[in-house]
Amino acid sequence: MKLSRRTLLGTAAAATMPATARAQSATIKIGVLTDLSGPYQDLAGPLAVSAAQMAVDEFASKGFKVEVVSADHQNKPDVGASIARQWCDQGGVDLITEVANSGVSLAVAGVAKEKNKAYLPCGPATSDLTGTACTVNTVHWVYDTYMLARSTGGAMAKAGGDTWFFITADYAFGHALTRDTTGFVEAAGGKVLGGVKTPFPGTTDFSSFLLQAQASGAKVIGLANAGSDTVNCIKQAKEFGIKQKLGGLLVFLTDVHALGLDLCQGLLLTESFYWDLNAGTRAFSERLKPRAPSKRPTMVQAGTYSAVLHYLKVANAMGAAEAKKDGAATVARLKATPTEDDCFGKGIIRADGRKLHPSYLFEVKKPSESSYAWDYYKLVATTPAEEAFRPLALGNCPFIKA
Amino acid sequence: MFMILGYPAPLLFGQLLLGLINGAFYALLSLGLAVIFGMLNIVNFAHGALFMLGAFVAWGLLNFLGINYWAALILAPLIVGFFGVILEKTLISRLYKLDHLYGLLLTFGLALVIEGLARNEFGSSGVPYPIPSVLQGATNLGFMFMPIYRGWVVLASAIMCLITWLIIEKTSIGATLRAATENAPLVQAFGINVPRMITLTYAGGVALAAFAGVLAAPIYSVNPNMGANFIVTVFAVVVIGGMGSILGSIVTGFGLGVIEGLTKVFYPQGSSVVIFVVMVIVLLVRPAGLFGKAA
Amino acid sequence: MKLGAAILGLCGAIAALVSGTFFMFASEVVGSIKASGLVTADPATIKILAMIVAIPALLAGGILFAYPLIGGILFFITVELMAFTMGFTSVTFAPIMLMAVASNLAVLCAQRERATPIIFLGFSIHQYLALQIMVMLITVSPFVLYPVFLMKVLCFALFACAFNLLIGYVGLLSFGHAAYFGMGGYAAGYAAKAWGWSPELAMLFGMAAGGLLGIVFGWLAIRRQGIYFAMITLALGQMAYFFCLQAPFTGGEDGIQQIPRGKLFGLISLQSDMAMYAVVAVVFLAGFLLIHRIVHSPFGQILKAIRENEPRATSLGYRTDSYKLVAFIISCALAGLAGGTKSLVFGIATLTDVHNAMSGEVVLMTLLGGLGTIFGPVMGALIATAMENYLAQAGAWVTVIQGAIFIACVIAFRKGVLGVLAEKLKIQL
Repeated sequence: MKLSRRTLLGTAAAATMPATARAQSATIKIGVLTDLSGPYQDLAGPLAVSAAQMAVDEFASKGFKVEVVSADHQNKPDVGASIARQWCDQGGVDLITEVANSGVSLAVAGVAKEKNKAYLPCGPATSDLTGTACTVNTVHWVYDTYMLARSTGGAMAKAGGDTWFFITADYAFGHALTRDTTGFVEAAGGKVLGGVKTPFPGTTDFSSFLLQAQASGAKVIGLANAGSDTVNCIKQAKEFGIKQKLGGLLVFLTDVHALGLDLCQGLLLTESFYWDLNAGTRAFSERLKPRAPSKRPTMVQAGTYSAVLHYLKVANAMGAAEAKKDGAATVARLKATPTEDDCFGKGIIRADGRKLHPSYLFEVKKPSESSYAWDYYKLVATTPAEEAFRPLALGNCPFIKA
Repeated sequence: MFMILGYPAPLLFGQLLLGLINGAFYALLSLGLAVIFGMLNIVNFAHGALFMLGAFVAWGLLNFLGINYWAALILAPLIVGFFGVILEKTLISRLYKLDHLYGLLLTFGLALVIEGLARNEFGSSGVPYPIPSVLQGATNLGFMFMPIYRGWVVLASAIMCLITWLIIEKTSIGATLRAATENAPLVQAFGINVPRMITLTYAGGVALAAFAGVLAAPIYSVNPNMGANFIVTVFAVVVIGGMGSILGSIVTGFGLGVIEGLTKVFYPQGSSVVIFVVMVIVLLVRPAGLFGKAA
Repeated sequence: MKLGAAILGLCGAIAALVSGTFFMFASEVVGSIKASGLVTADPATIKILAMIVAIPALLAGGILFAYPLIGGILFFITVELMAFTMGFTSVTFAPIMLMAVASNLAVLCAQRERATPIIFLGFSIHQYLALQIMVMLITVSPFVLYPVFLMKVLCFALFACAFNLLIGYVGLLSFGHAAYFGMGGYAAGYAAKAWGWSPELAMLFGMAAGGLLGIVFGWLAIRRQGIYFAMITLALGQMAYFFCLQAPFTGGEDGIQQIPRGKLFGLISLQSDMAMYAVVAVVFLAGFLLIHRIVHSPFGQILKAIRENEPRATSLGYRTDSYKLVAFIISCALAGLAGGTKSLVFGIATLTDVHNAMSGEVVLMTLLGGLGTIFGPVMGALIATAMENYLAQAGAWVTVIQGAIFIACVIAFRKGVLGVLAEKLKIQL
């Protein structure tokens, strides 16, 4: 009995030490919370952590120390929120970034607000992050459902796809994407005939949902999902001989890579970054190459780099100690400073925390048009930064007074 | 597009087919569970994990040794069956004198270990397994569009169920097996090596799970959770059919798959719970299950 | 308010001094008795003396544990003062509890041959000692360890204790207990967020939700015994999971997020982790003592009789099904309470808590700590949660380790950590 008590106290003492020691240091600490094992591990995951590390390395010489930690949120909001909470309480983390899952990202937004830390989500899509759920600690970086809906959804509706059926991943992202796309389809005079919600994560067989979509008679089956879910939907639609047009509302470079050009050719999709877009993006991809030679970055991974870089620039200007002190104040400085990097060019951050940059509508090339590895897209249209995202007034962000 | 009961025919038949496919897996898995329970008196919670293992073995054979689907369909059950022999010899055989609940707990632990290892190795989204080239494509049956592979799954599992049933009910091996289930010491007294028979029964049940795993691989893509998703539903199937009844598990397996498929047409929201609702009703009316003997 | 704090602080200090000296005196007495060689002569004397030591230890302990809470409720609205009183108590409380423990140990040493049961709420002296250590650790640890982690441990400990009531004392293995835990979490979260209920009401609502679900599922499941019972509860648990996946109020895969911790009784803000910790500690202790009380009541004795030999209990005229059902419902209600508390602590209620992996986890905790021991589930919850927390970086290895522990427990030590320890020490824990 004595023994067990002694061991317990010993463990207790050992567990406390690092917590107090770390809280005192003036090192900037960046937490990359991402999907390291699930359906989004390719489009975000380890390479997003590498991208954050690259931004840190490129910024290394400025006189303060930066440390990157990473963790797997397993696509579970409770897991993500409790990691974020522990990072803030014990780990001394000042910036949480990436978070490729809308449900998790909303949960973490609450924690970041409560603990007053900077929060720069890159992977999540839900436009609620700058809408009803916006906080003064959040800057939503890469893209959102409104941007996707406006660009892809709008383009498809105009091209004659006037009746839709949605296959929706049943969590915040799917709901937001369905809602925003419905808005644009209806604005273009189209109609939504129905939809199904699929459990996420864990659905691998979509055939029953695809059959329902087929039976609805809609011209377009809107895929309000992402990552391996979208890949499976496209594959199984082919298996069941479904003739309707598939609207991949969020398709990443890695999905096209996994499916192959044969299956994807002609698919319209929207991204805010493509590695082969211009000199800047090519230079960035070239620098990232040593960290993952066989891959090219997606917009989420590029965004993680861009977000971390901008934060470090501002933190440097403020001084590390000052930046650590008050997350909301640091984010206010982030918003006041124009952004510039290789991936997204010049940009600004709006008052509600929306990072603005152009969005691009791409078409996937035919196998015959692709002339080197990862040569997948051709540019169809560009939406300028001012028009790409939802207007400030329509977001209903609580702290924005119209 | 013609209609049946106000529903488009392709939808109705499509869901019916999907129901049959799920039913095929329910039948194969609950059959294995029934065989093992009958002989060992153990509820094999690791059944789902071994189903998954079968799929991963098939994937490994294809990707590392270049062994194709057809060979894997025989090899993977053998390999997993051998693994079952090891499990039975080293772990499960220690539990026969204890409360049945310990068997459940042990196999639950085994399932966690196997699934955890698979998740470590392959991540939770898993790896794809291609449909064998002969079975690719689909035929248009007029009223519906049927992918050939899915038709094959229903056929193959029905044949496998029939073979198992014949072995147990119509051969001398099966007769000995059934006798040992009733009275093991007596059978032992006749000079039959009962412990070895128990081991082989476990291996056989597990091999059935692996066979189902290989069948499932091209449909669900090989992922660590594929077994865990199935196993609880299969437990419900077993409760409905009556534990230990061979015929009961086959019939209820396919039947419930069809019921589930039809629910997807008429009331999609209820499709995931319909089997459990059936279970509740059966429990109220016949607590021993549809084909079970009253305890 | 500062005046109030000062007065209470003073009261605490006096109480601490008084009881402290008393304990020192008591242990002195026992020590001297032991030295004098009286021990072997008359066990009855020792018993009385031990009583003398134990009762004041209990009283002082009770007062000291209760006063910061009562104080906080009566006087202090602000979190800082609440934390201050908690801190102050722990500082005074810890050495006193240590002394109480020491004096009890002395008594134990004095009567080595036969452990005389000294009953307080059904605790034997060893259990009472263990209770003292546990209460002491609960009081002191938030100043040493991460409070949120400790709250998680306490929630799971209560959950495991509730589960143990079934498996340990009725012999029913419920493999779907996550349903009640998770449903309690959803109910409490929804009440706190959508209806703005205060936390204590929300927790009670969670408890009611767990209990109600327990009535329905229990009524169905007790129709079968043993392995069938386990499989049916598992299937029903999965049904509850699918229900939560689709029901409109649970928020699907997102869960109910940003649940406010609110103000206790509408007065004390629980925003600070320390304040919340105090509430969780009280909830846990209340649940723990309730379970213990049930187990040692006549009702509990009948439950044990059912566990040992159900036909015999039936032949003695007990309606075993009703007893089993009541035990099941109590267990589910307490699981719901634990779930509700957890969702308030973390501000989120999700599918993780209704998933059958959670059902497996609670079995693991109880098995690991020791089935049918009072403190085993608490120990098991501590070990399992700590493992999960500190091995989080290892990803799926946690699952592998959990599985390995399951196998090891079943093959090698079926009595669990505390069961084995108790056997070594030849006592009951």
